[in-house]
Amino acid sequence: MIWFKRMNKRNLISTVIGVLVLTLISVFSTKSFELPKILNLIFIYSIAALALNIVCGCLGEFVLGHGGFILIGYTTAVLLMQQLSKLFTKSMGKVYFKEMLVYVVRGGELHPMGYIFIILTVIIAALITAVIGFVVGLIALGRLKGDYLAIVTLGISLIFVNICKNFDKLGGGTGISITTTISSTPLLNLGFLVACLILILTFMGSRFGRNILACRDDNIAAEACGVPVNKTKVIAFTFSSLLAGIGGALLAFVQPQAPTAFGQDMSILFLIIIVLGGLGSLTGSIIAAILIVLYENWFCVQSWVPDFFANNPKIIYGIILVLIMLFRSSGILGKNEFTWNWFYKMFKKEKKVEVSELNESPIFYKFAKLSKIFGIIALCLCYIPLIGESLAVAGIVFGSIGKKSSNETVRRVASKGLTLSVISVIISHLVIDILVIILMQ
Amino acid sequence: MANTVLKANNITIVFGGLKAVDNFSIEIKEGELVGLIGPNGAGKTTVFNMLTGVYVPTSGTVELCGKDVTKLSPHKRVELGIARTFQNIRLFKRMSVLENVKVCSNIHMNYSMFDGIFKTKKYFEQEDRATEEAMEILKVLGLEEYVNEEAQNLPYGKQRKLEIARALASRPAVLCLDEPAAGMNPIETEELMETIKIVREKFNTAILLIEHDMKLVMGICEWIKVISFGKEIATGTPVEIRNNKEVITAYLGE
Repeated sequence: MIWFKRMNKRNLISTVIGVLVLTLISVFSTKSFELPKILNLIFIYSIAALALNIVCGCLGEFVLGHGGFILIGYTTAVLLMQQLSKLFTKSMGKVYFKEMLVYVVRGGELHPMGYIFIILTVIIAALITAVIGFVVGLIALGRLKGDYLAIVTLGISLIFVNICKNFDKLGGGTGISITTTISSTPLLNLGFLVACLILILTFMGSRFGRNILACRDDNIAAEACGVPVNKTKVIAFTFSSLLAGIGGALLAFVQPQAPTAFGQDMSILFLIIIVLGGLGSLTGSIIAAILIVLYENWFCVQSWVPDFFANNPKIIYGIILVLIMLFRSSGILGKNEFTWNWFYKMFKKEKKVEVSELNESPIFYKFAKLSKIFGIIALCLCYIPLIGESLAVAGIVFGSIGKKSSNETVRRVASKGLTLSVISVIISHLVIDILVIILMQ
Repeated sequence: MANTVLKANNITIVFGGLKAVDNFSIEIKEGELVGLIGPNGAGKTTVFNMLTGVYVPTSGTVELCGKDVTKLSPHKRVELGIARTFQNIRLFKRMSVLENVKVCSNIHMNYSMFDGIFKTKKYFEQEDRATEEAMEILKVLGLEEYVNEEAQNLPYGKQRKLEIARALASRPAVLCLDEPAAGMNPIETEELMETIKIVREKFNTAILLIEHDMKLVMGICEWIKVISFGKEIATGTPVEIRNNKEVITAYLGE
């Protein structure tokens, strides 16, 4: 329990509160029709994006075959559930188990005990994916680098897709699926996301994670520092496919898909997500996953959005990538992470700036301070429609004026105000909308 | 009598038809400070690469602390006690200074993946020890104020020092410095000389040094080996080398 003693208590409590809020949203979301699916997809896409980020962002190897590993997780989970149901309906005399699994597999109310089977299935599917990832990593990662590795992984993933496509038992043209009502509650997926995130953070904080980061920056120097480079790469790739397997297995319970959907399109979609969020930034991947899922499943199906988007949702990704390259080449968060320390720093008082230090008119400083105050108030009141938003918009306007100042401290105050205002705008738009939907239904 | 830490017996390497290094032998004893000099293209760095494991010699053997390591990969040799720096700085640019040093102390940790993920007592014990050691090394080299800075943001001279600090974290028996003074001005070189002396005293390690800066080499090395066109042409104390006819010919021509 040393880690508990070492933990910053404030951050721990903040995290627990954050998870609790998400849990509440997940529980109440089942009252709405569309929301559970969106939340489920957000959680699953986050897990899969994090998995890809370990190889592409942390290890620095370019891998294009992520979809294939998600497909393995998906197919394994479906097959396992089918086998489990057969096994129990045939040989287990106990009605209890039988009924439980029939419920899980055929649909209907999910027995609470059914969750244990689902979790076990997901874990086994992930382990199988990890074994396959280990073999692929052993073959490909030690020998190839850069573009060649990308091409080989893409090819391998297409092999997986084609195998599944040509065997009806593994999917065939239409795909295999499990029918459960689990898609109605995002709680399980939330749990897996939190578990995966903790797993990744602790793993990257250990000596193995340090080795992975060292390999990213310089292979030759890493080797000369006693890092077994090839072994480290294979470990990272295996870990990544383990998480991809979890993502794929969870996807099987939420969204039935044909094997062809896991081809290069899905691989590149996840590449877009991690580039959008920032290579190597874990929280960035999650934020980008949220944006992409919301765009595909919420924005595109709105009635006021032109049919063009609904029919070709992927057309905007190219534009997004070009814009990112032009204006923020490192992605939304760059290599930074969203941490509680960073968040609470927003509220800290800056050193007071004397009027004599300001070369230009002190009006910028006033605007910067105002922006910060507005941002804080907006964040506190963001759950009130209109008031929170208008305060935040005022904060953004004042912040952008304050940013024009030549004094560095003033600029820092202004950007704090800006960030707080933007966060409150996002919260008041998204979270409040979600809450309203939940409460209305 | 001091023990031999690094020994190369008649190592030769051939690239295609080119004999880059021919029958080179060296023996370094505990705590010695040895220089390896020669004109450009003489094969100094190739010798280094063979000693540290980047190249496998075509013939001959390399021994490290009494063990034959001729065919071992670089990272295994680091565990046995050899560490190196690079001619062109190769730091882990996007990692912090402390992490850079701790990468090298990884070889002294043996906690399993389970310990790492569940943060057991063993994890904290070993990580804390590594951090403490790293801080000590950084303090000796005067880098403690940059601990949390990203390595790529350090000034050039400090980056060189950080490379030495990183190599020291693996507790090497012999430390190989590949042109540590390249691109430094005279003042920085002087500082580097002091640093090397301090490192040798504090960490009790033998040092093998490649350098073009004669002032540095003549000033601190106990004995020097000179190679030219892959062949050893002289061995001796700085004074002997300075008066050696062959060496002068190799550097200045007939």
